[in-house]
Amino acid sequence: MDHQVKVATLIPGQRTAAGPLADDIRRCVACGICLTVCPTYQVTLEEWQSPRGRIAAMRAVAEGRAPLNERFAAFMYDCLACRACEAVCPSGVPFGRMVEAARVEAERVVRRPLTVRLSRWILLNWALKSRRRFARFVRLLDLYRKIPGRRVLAGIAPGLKMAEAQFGQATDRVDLPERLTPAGPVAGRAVLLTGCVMDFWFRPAHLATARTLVAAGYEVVIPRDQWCCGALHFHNGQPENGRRLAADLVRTVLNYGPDVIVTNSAGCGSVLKEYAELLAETPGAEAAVEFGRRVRDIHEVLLAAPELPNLRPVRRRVVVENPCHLVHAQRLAGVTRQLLGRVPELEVIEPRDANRCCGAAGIFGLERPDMSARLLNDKLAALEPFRPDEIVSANPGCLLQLRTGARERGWNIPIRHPVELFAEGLADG
Amino acid sequence: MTVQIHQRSAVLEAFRAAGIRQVLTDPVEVAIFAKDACPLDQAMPAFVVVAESADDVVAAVRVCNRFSLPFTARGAGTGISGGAVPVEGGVVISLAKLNRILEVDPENRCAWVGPGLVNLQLSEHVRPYGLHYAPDPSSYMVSTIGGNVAENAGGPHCLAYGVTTNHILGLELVLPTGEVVTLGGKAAEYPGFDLRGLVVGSEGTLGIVTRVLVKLTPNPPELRTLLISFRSLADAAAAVSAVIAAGVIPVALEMMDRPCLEVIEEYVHAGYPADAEAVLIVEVDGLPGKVAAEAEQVAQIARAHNAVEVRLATDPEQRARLWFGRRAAFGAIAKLKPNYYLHDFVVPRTRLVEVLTQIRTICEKYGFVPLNVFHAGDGNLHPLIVYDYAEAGAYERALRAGQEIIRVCIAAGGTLSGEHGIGIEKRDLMPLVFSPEDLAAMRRLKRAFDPNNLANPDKLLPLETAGQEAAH
Repeated sequence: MDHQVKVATLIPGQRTAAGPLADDIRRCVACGICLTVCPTYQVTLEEWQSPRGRIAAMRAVAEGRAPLNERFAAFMYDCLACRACEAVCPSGVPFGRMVEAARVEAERVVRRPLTVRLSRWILLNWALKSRRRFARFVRLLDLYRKIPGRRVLAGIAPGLKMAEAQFGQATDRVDLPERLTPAGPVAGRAVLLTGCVMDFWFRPAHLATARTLVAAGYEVVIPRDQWCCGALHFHNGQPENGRRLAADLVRTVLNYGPDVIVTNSAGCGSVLKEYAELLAETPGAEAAVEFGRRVRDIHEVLLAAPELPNLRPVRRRVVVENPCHLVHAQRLAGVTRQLLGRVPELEVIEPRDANRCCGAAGIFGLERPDMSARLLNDKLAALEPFRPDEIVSANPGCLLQLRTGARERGWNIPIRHPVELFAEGLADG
Repeated sequence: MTVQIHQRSAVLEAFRAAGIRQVLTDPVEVAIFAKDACPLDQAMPAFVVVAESADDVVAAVRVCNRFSLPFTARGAGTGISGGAVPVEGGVVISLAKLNRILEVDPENRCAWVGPGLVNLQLSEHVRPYGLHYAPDPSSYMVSTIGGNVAENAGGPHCLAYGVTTNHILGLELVLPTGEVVTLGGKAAEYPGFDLRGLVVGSEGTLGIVTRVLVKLTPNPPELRTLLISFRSLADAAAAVSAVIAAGVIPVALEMMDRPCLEVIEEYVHAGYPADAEAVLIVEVDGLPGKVAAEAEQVAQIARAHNAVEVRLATDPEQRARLWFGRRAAFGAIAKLKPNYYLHDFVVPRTRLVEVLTQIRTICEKYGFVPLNVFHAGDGNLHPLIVYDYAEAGAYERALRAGQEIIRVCIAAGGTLSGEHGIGIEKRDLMPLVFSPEDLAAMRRLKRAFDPNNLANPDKLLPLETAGQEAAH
């Protein structure tokens, strides 16, 4: 037989012109199992909106059969990077890091509407640089919220409607202690990561996280000098900026001598656990390994701890939504259900599609507002029949997104981090 | 046959004028349709038509005829014999969006569906009627009914229920020249040529199916699953033959050999007996009394053939546990090496052991350990060679081992393909099982449907020159 090997240009160990490693591209055998879980494929039935199709595009560019062009860039940003495909891939294709690498190359040819470019720049390249800047950004948003008719304004510009709906929400800034100590024996020292968006919009979740950690026997330290983990940058074609933030965070946090480094943001957690890989060729590589080894999502810590005694009953019906970066990226399936299952009398519902992306996906709503809104609508339509008293999700982006959708539907129920609900069961109230 | 540059815009214009909304031409876009799940070949089409209706398909085929462009229909692109690989410079017609269930007729136990409908979604949809669509290829969660029809797909449960062709009552076919015909239908028998039967398994070479009338099967009232382990492959194979000879037709009769079991245990911990040389999974279904008796009969036959352990599962949870390792097999195998070459052929059941031994010898000669997980009940073998493309020459060695294995199977009275189709993969091996006269008759048939040779050309039938070479 004279079948030619037409993939000679994919040299093992080398990075391709499309961005990903040749080895990662070759790992895909094109079986198509990923199509069954890919939210964008399921909605469109279009191959180029699927992981297999995106990898085929990467392969074509890598092999020189197609140019690195605007269409390629568009396909890479059509992806939610929810990584549902990774969890079902029989061949173990590391799709998340592939699409991240492809986006770095895509940045050179991508075309975006001016408003989207500007919003991206403000958020990624200005606001997230430091806590001080971000505080200023939040103050500007506070002013913005006072403009009458602002929603109409945002609706006109491409991509801004979602951004407005999410970041236009009021922040929630209760005070956080710097240190909490359990009354009994100490299991270890936990450093709580407060992040960026979480720290301005979801402080109550931080407070609840700290309280549950103390209840589980940890001494909790909440460093004031920590900042963003860089997840949004890594996910959106700016690994350099991501690495800068990551290196700072590693240095800062390790100074506090943590036994465990705790995050309650699924998106951050997935990146924090990959620090060793992401910072591999930098001066901070060793520290990153050290850091990565200690990172845990709050669910992991609480589920590994002995069951907390005397949890009070909470008579309520809650719907659990699982962030993609918790179930698919960190492979922590069902942890919210398990955790809340410990609260007496709480009715916990995990809908059939609880693991499907809600369309938030970091700043995806800015890039692809229509798809984002469609996924959100599908999600809320599916959970409406449960008539929940509240909805929980362990990621800030998802919470903002779900709140946006709930508001549009006139639902007046709490939508918050599961640890807040769990903390209600703590005896010392 | 490829498109001249100056023709490109004329073709595009013609597609648009025919009312087709989605036509892809950008190299990045068309490259996405350059291959299916077959690792052997890829080719860049000049156009991809994303059909949104059966009318789009008719229109696209007519335009292809006007410009003499070869076209290839594509469902979910999960085929592994290369059936959906386009002709370089040709046209891909994607049917993925034609996924509607057009009519369910529970009384006549059938349904009209679009070719893009995913196999599993059909069964899920008709579950409330107590019905399902029986053929269940391993890809059933993603592969489409249209693709299943093209390849005449099989699956674990086809032993008792039959393969795809036994479940297709009728078809709407766009002929390669653009006319639309309906073949078969709800009546039990049709006089004249069985063109429906001809089209099923024709791999897109006789036209494009735009509607399918599928037979629906009542869900069995009861199911029992047995997991039986043996110390020797020969005992397991003899037990398989004895079960069939005893008149029991299990709905599934799957075998896994030791290398396969080791991988499954290592990676998915299915709890299978790790020291067994072979494990059978046998499933029987039907009315409660019959099922209990058959399960007992199978267990007795197995014990008479030196089975070391027989596990019986009756409730769904236990059954799922027994199936778990089998279903996870390919995932586990993928963890061994990044690439694999999955074969598909059928040998007489009585020669299973002999062929399996020869397969192992051939693979070892090329430095591989074959893994076998297959439909033992109908002698449908799926030896799997895992390799790492990064290892120099591994891919070529895997191909050569495959060629030798095929010849061994045919020498044992077997045939080229059980359920994956011929496509590109085995096209040039057809002369091993068909005489020049057979092939000439097939070519004349193809020409009768497709005088311009545009419908998925260069598939299924050997290229004329290569065919003669392979025969020697």
